[in-house]
Amino acid sequence: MQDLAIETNCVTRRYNGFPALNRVSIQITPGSRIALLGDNGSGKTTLLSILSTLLQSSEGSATILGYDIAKKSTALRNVIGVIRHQPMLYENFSPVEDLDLFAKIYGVSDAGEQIRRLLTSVGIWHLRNEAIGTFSRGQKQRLMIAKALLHKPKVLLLDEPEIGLDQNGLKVLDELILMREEESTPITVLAATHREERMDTWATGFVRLERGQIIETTLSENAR
Amino acid sequence: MIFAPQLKIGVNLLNANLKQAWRDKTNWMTAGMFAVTALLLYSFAFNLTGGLVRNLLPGVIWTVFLFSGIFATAQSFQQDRQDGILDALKISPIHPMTIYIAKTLANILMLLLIEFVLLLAATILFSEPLFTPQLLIIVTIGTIGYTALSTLLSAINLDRNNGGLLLPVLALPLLVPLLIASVEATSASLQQETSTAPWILLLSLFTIWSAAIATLMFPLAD
Repeated sequence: MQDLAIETNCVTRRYNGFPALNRVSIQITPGSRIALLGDNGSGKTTLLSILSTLLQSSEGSATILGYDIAKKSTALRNVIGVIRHQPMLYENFSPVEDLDLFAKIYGVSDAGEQIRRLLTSVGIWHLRNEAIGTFSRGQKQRLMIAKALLHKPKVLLLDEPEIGLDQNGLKVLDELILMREEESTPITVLAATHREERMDTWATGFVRLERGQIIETTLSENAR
Repeated sequence: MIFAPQLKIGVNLLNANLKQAWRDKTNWMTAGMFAVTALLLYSFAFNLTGGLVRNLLPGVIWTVFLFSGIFATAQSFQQDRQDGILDALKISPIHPMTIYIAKTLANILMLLLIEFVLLLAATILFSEPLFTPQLLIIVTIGTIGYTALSTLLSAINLDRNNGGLLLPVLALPLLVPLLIASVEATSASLQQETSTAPWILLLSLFTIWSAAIATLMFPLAD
C-alpha cells in the first residue's frame, strides 16, 4: 500500500458544542492536487487549520506524510507549506528581511539564492527592499506564495490562494504551485477555493464540504 | 540536541522583534511619554530635598516603571497576531517557548532603555545620584521579573476582545511581591542604612519564579 500524504480519520472540531467539522475522513496520496470546495462556513478553513497544526481537533486523528499532527513535531512542520486566508508577513519588514528570517527558522541552506529565485519567480524582486505594509493584497499574496515554498515543503495547505491575484498573479500561482512541473519528490496540494471554474485546470480531484461534513468527493487515481 | 538550533532561531527572532519594535514605535513612544510626563509631574508636585527625596523616590521610580512597562508590553503580541506572524511562527519548526523568550527579551531590552533614560532624568530632576551599580542591578532584576509576567499575560489576553484592559487587572495582583521587594531594595540602596541583600535576594527569587512559570505556561496560553 502506498504511503499517504494526508490522512484524516473522523476529524471533528466543535465550537461551543457546535460541530464546525464533523467526522471528516480523507485519504490523499502523494502528488495529488485536491481542491477543497464548499460554501462559507462549510469547514474548509477549519480543516486546513487543523492540518497545519494551528487548531486542535476535538476528536479524530490526522497524519501528514506519516507524522501525527497532534504531536506538532519539527519534522512535520518542515514538510508543510501554508498559505492562509490572511497574509502572514511582518508589515514593517521588506520581503527580503521577512523571508530571510523564516529561512533561518527553517534552516534553509542556500537562503540568499533561494530568496532571489522565489521573489523573481513571483514577480516582486523589484520590491525586495520596500516595506511589506505598502504592498497591495495581490503583492502580499505573491510574497506568501514565495514564503510557502521557501523551505521546499512536500505538502501545501492553501486557503483560497487566488485571493487578490490578478491574471498574472494567477499564472504565477499555477506555474509555481498548482500546475508546476513534477520534481523528483512530488508536492501534494490541498487547496480551499471558491474558483471552481479554474479547478479543472489544476485539480486531480476534489472534496466538497457542507456544514462540516463531506458531501461529495471525486478523487483521481492519485488520490482516494 | 534541540537546544542549539532553538537558541540560534531564538537569537534571530529576538533581532526581528527588536527591529519590529524599533520601526513601529507606537507602544514604546506611549510608554516613554507617559513615564517622562509622570516623572516631571512628581518632581514639581513634591518639592523634595535631601533625605525626604530618598523616602519617596523608590515609590516614584517603581510606579513610573511599572505603568510604563504595562503600557509597553500590553500589546506585545497584538501586532504579531494582526499581521498573522504569530500563526506563521506557530506552524514553523520553532518551539513556543522560544517565541516567548525572544519576545520577552526584546521587551526587557526596550524597557531597560526607557528606564535608564528615566533614571538619568530623575537624577537631574531630584538631584540624587541614581546611577549606582547596586541600583542598576535592582532595576534590571525587577524589570526582568515584571516583564516576564506581563509578556505572558499579554499573550493570554490576546483573544479576549477587551483592548488590553485585562492585563493590568491580571498583572498587578501578581506583581505585588515583586514591587514590594523592588521598592524596599531601592529604598535600602538609596538610604544606605540597611542592607539591600535580603530584598535583592527576594527580588531575584521572584524574578526566577515568574520567568520560569511564564516560560512553561506560554505554550498553553493559546
